[in-house]
Amino acid sequence: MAITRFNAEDGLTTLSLEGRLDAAVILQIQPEFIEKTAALKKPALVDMSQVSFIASMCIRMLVLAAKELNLSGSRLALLSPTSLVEKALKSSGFDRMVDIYHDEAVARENLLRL
Amino acid sequence: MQPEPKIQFSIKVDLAALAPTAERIRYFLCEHGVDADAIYAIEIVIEEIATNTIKYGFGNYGFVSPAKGNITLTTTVTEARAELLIEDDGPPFDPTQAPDPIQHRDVDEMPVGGLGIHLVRTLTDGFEYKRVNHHNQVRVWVHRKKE
Repeated sequence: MAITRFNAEDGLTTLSLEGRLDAAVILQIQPEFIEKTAALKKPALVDMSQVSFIASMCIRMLVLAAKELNLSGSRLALLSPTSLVEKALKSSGFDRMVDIYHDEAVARENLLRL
Repeated sequence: MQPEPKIQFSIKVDLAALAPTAERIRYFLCEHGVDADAIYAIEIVIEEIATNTIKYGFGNYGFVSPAKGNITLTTTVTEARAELLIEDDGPPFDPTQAPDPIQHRDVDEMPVGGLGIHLVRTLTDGFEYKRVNHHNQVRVWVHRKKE
């Protein structure tokens, strides 16, 4: 199961992604991910700490959700990607558009303040 | 002189075949002392180039079922680098000529697609394409110890 620990209380959506997020997996989970992030129209924090690999299809899914949330005045942020996953995100320029945090308290505070 | 360690897989044009193949290549590279950054870069290449081949080369845009055709992945480890050769028997498709995504300033301007080849260019040290005997050949290499 690639999407775990979903919680949509307290004005902030939190959920975790896990495992190898290649194109085959993203094709399966993208509708659920969009439903649990962008469709709720409130800030979303995605825990990436248990993700071992991301493909461009995963970055595409995250960008889609971030764009939708931006349109509704909210934000998407990522929490604690591994160094290899973060390197791929930064290589794509993703980190210039979407905040990446390694401290959950700071991430929550910033997302709820905006 | 010992031959360079090499492993080769031939798979159907099917997204479901990529993850187990990538895993076996990852173990092979790990066994031969290639560092984690270089292995990750090779995994990105397998995913992005093969996905592009399935989608654009063989026209399986919805990835709905395996298309006709084969993809061969040959991984070689030398003293200096890990190298991957991806060959397919689809129509000519040169990923090295794909445009880079536009530079973007905020999330609204960020392109939703086109990032795969950009990742391959950014994370590898060499990226070449040839058309040989009606086959596409994409060769990439990564230095074993990335700077």
